Amino acid sequence: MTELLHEISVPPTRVSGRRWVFLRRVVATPGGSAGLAVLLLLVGSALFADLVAPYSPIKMGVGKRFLPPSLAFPMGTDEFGRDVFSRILFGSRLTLMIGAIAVGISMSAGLVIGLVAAYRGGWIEKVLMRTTDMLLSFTETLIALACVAVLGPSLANAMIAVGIAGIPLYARTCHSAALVERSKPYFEASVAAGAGHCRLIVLHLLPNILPTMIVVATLGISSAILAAAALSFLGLGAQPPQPEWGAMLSGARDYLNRGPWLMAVPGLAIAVTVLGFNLLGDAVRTALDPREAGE
Amino acid sequence: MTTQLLDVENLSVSFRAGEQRREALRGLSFSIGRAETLAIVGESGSGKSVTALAIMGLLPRGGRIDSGAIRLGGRDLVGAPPAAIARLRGAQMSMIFQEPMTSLNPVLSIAKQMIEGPIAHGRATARTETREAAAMLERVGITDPLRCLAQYPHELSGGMRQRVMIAAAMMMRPALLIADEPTTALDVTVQAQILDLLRALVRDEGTALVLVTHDMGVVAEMADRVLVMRRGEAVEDAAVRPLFAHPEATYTRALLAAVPRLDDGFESGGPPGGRSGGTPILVARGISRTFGGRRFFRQRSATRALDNVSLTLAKGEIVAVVGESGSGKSTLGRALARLTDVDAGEILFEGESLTALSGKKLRRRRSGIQMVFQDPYASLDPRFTIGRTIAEPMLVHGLATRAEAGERIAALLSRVQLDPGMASRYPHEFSGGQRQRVAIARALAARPRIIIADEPTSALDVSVQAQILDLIEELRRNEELSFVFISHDLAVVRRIADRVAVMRAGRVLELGPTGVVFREPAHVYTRALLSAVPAPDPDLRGRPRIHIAAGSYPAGRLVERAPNHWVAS
Repeated sequence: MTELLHEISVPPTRVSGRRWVFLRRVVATPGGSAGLAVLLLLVGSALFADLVAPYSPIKMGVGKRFLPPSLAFPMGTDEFGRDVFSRILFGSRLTLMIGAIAVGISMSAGLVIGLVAAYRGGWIEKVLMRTTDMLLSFTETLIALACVAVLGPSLANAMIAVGIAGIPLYARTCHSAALVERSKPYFEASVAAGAGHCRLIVLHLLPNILPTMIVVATLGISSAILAAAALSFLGLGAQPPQPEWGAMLSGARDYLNRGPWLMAVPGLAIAVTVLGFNLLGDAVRTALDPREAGE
Repeated sequence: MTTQLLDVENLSVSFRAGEQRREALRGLSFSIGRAETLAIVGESGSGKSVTALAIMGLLPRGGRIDSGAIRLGGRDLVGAPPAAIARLRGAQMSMIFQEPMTSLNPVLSIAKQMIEGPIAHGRATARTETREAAAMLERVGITDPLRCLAQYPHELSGGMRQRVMIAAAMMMRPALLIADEPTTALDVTVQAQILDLLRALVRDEGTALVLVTHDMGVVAEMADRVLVMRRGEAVEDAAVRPLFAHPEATYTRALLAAVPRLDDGFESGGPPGGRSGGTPILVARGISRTFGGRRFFRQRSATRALDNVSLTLAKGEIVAVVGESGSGKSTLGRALARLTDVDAGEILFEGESLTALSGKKLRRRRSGIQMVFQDPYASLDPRFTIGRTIAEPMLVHGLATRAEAGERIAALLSRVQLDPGMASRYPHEFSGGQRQRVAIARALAARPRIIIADEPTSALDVSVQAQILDLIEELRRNEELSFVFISHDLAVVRRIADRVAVMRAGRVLELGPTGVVFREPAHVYTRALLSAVPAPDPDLRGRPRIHIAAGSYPAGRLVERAPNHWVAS
């Protein structure tokens, strides 16, 4: 009888290569593969800009101003005779850097605030979360503008400003995710086992909220890039002659009649990048959804 | 053709699982006649719910009927156009689900939800249907039907919602009613009322009832015939009395043997090694805990989760705390483990006050009291291998070095009858019962003197439950561990506990040796509780039930009625 009953319980199954399964699930959706393609393209051009770019991104070319797209200049030249294609390629470095650094700042500060608030509770949680709510009621761009106004216009400051502006969103998401995990029995079991604060936060809470935060971050990169481009467009971010896409867009505004490609190219680059990261974020969210995970 | 109302023949259903298809039902055949009650029993994964959904044409995405026939009143539903099945659904056949909390739409009034079916089937107008709905609500035992119709689901209790669900399902007087675990989420006293109601409906309306359940007690109480399922196949199909008296299939016998019974004779064995009366290892004196109360903006009514509760636990003793939802039993467990603070009273562990401790000292001291939780899926960190989970208490308290931990983990895993080689696996690779074993191993790793088990078997199948109970008994016997066993299931408590504390609304109403409390319950609430438990024996059907109204029972000081037997005055 006992053997019979033992047989009823399901034997554990081994799942191998969870990382690859995850990647395969991201690529499985058309949006995911498109997003991943954009990301790879961006990384590729950032890495190999020196090799691929036919010209220097900042060297001016006398007598080559406003050349329309041709074989020699695939995306034409700008008002200083610089090759737009080369500038776009080198600009991808800045774009990736902006995305990574701004999101890095928002994410790390948001994680700390959210985790501390959820873990400690009490008045600390109230102060942190009400402040977050207050900041959330302003649009991110407004906060970023205020930060740049204080820090002064430069690309580095723009990244910091966009990063700071993103903190409330990350803190809020992290807080609610951590609250959910905190109330689960495994967390209580660790408390009962005598685990200390560090262990509970770093080993139990953090790894369990990370999937949620990764989704937020992937989606957040696109809005960070957009916000930084907006700052550069306003002249508060990248300074000439840095080939930043937002700044290129801004510079091209005055020459709309003489060189319409000057606006179209960086505008398209920004749009495609933002779209790519959004698609990727959606795919990552779908792939991480436990309901989709199945066996 | 047969005169049967529903005829299921050779039904096979499969689900998409990655590239392949996983079979959920294999060649299942059964039938049910008018005014008949058929119980489908089986453990999780047996395909009993899939059967219900297949009949209703409600298989989830990825599910498909591969072959077979489902004939309702002689008409085959397999291959019928979805629109035709939709016309039958609600009118000819209806379904009630397990969760009364989520199966009603929270933003629609009860009236809207009740007349939804009849209106959708183009029957009459909203006005006449509302009158009909009121009559139906009265029929299911709702005292003020007109008021209820205007209410929203959140204003009703779980039992009331399930009544409303039943009333809504019966609005079109379907010939067939399918109830999927209709009482599993309810307290036993409410369960008894809902079962009585279903039985009366079957009798008066001539409805055929398919009752999907895992509870042999409910089966014995309700069914005319029983279909036992396992892994998508019918194991046995028999009338209820012969099935309980002489089960044919080995599996049915094993299933019945694993069901704990309220009337298990203590004379034949009794709870082994009862140690009540030894030196108390844990003493709770007059502990109280209030939730809610004053808030920043508004005054909230406070709930007294624990109200002056006292309890002792001897070495090697198992004390059960039983009660319905909201009785405060879980809060008591958490308070004893010092996972929640108490407002008043004192908890002494091996003579030392736990309530006075805090910070590091508390962390060290409370490793002597460990918890095992109800939900085996949430009680293990999904990102820890089980080896790491089990190692945690040892590493935290320096009970073992990293090197020694490996050996201890292996020893603990075999202690709870798991393969020591599984230490490097993750929780999702284990079944519910195996996870509960891991949770017990983690608790043991801290070398506790006391384990507080909060409904440790409620989420498990009966056969797995029996194994976990065996394990607990063995740990008590061999390691002199003490247990506080929190449960709503009286039959389980009867099997395992030395003493029982019956709680309601934060107070202990009766406390005494298990045998005495179950044989001669002294408190009226205990009697009501015991009379409401469905017995897994069709011959005990229709026993008189004791009903008590809220507040109409003594809940004062505990008075010693007989040695060790305390009853609220």
